[in-house]
Amino acid sequence: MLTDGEVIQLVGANRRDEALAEILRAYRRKVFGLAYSFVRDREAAEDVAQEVFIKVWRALPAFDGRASLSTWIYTIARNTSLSALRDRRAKREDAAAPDPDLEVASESGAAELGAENASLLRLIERLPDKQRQVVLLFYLQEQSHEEVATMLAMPVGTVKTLLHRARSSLAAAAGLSPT
Amino acid sequence: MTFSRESLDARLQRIYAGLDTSPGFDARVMARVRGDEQAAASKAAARAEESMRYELTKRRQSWRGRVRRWVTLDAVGAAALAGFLGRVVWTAAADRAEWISMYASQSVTALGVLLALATLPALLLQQKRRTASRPSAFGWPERNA
Repeated sequence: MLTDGEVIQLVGANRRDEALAEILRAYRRKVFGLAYSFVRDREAAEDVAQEVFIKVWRALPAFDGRASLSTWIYTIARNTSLSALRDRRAKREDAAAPDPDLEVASESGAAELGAENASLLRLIERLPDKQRQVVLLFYLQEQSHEEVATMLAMPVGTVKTLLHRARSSLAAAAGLSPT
Repeated sequence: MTFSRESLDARLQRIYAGLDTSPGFDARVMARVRGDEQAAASKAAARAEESMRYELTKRRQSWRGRVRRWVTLDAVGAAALAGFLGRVVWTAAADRAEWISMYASQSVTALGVLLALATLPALLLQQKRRTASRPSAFGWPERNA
């Protein structure tokens, strides 16, 4: 994985495509996961992730390393996801009705996972938004509390609290040991 | 709902293990980037062409303006005066060939002096016109005292 300085050097040497290829390798799944945690639909999350990387590519010459590359990318990803979420909500006629895409995604995911995990997935879907996001991002790639905090622009303490609450709720609902 | 004894962590990790983009995602992003690059390049080329055309038009217009500025009353007046003098001399001289050979150099000098002098009244007139039309601090032309 490239360091922030190496990315700046590549961009400075007019090798922006190479820099993007490296960024894609390192952040593709994280950005996709972050987008998915907002829009809760695979296809939409993929569109958002694509948009994020295009924005990153366009803005790379302006990246000066004042913030870390990960913080910078996650900020773009968060803003793009929120904007996509707003668009999706605006498109839906009845905001109170459940998102049909989400239902389909959950059902198809459930079918792949088997009955027990499918039940757990349904329980996760019922968690409050922030708790659900933290759970998804934490378990997506065995990420640290710090990284999830950076992704969601939250204090680490808040991430720990949300994760603890989510685990407790899930364990209680599913009759599992939380650890 | 009953679950096996497997820990919650392990289950959650398994649930999200398969959450990833569809195959070919990186290639699609790179293709879009290249499309974006080409669009930007063609836009830049169009901009460059437009600015070149603008420069050319501006240069042409300034050249035309300069020509128009030269071909003013001064120049036309000077040319008319020169023509008139030439004609007078031509018709007045009985023996033109002899006259020309005798006074050629003096005639050319005199013509030059006359031409130079002819522009002076025209320049003065133009300057006077400019002063009369220059707007004052209040936005309307100053009246000549």
